Amino acid sequence: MRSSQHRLKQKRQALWIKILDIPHEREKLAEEYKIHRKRSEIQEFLPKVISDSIEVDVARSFNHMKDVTSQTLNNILKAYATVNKDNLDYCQGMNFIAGFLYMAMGQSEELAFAVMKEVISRFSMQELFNTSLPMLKLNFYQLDRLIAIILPDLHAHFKDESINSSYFSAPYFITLFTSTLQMQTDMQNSETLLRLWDYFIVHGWKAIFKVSLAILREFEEALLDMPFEVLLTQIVNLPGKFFLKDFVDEASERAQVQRFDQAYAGVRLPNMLLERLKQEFDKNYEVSKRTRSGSSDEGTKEKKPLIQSIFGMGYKQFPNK
Amino acid sequence: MSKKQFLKMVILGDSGVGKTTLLQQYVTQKATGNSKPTIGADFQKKEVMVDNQQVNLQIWDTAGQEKFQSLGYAFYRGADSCALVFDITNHKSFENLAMWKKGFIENASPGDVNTYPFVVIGNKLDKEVNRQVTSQEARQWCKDNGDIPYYETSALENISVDSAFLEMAKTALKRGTQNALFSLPESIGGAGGAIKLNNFEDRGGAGAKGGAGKKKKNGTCC
Repeated sequence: MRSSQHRLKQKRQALWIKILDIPHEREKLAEEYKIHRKRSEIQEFLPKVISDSIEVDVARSFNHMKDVTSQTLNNILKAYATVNKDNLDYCQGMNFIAGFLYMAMGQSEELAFAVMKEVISRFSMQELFNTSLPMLKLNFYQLDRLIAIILPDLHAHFKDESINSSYFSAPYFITLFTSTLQMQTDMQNSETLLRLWDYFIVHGWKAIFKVSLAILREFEEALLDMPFEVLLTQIVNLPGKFFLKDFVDEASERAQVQRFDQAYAGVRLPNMLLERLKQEFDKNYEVSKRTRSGSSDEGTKEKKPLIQSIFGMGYKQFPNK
Repeated sequence: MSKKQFLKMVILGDSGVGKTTLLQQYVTQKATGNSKPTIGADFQKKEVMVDNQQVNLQIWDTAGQEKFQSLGYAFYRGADSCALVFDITNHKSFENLAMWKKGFIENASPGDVNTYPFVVIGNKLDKEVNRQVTSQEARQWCKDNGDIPYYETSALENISVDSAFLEMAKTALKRGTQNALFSLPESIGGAGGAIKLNNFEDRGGAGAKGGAGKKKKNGTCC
């Protein structure tokens, strides 16, 4: 019996390429990849400090997955670092995405490279990865607000325990849950992670927020009983528990994926809500920047009030409208 | 028995100097040398006895890439002690200590900087043959920076790891805690709950779950 799930597995690569509008001529992709690989050997395109930082991370990424070699990861990440080097070279976390995509794309470096390049550009991930991680701060804000709206009990508990999403959710956004693969030896148990990526490639960031909330909802009861310290040590393991299940056979894998689909669909997240939270963030961020920079000297001291305003201090000043 | 003490500590330093492995060794008494790059920050806890007093350490392990320092505010604030870690086989990581220290001071507002309980850790003593930073050079830097205690450790082989952390705890206790948990930032918005959307009622609300027994279990007071 051939399930639709089985067919999807067979066609996943082709589907992702199609949805992402990546040229399907393999020669073209190989050629482009080659150009960037060549560039990455030239200091001018890839300064030593960047290639060093890539190597440090590659040496400690996917150590258990023998199909993802250091050579492969170095090649993809260094090539990528030359793509848009004024905007983004390398950010920790891309190592996991690169390794995941290499496996997801049938162990083809040029395909992994092409998908990574398209995903980063299509979903504005430069904003996430570049110098001051501006989008990550927005994402923390959005997730905190969504927890308050969708999981109010958990929100109240987080508040009691002085916990906010910046304490645990950086890998959700920065690695798109691929850091859960760190201890894996292969992709055997990763079907639900691939499934999340199906959603991500189609729906973008909304999918990441939905699954973040689905994870928190799944473990909500346990989390509600945990005090600060226990919570923080446990919460980082949840994505791994959520995504990596031992599948004994194809039927149980199918059941797991169906459960995932249900959990995912169970989180209702209207498009306008994310947009609205962004506006909320932008507005407060702008206002608090203005009120603070008004009194202080500009330029050199600009960085600190900005950071402070993002991390909570600013919001207190704005009552409900 | 005297009351429990809580101390918040943060570990800073360049990417790959061994922050996570140090912490792993300290907390679990074993280190694989196989830890992945830390994304954002990780949290560990440990109970120790310091001068006959039970102390709960809450230790934040942070990401080493410089850009993650822009998140530092949330993790640094209210820290009772700070470890600045470098790799003795990597001179650049030693040169960057000044940058990490400065970033910490700017973000954590630690009061009198001269008496703040910093500890400097030169890690990877197991790679002595590749040493690029001499003990003398490191000690001099510590001296010039307000007599910061200096430890050389091997996170992998468990050399001096305990003593470095114990020193942090001791000096922090001596200085008096900053009541870490009460000075944590409220949130970046959500948990603060200051803003409501018209269509989506914030049902939980601030303290809705409160009531007896739901008070903080983890403060230094009460």
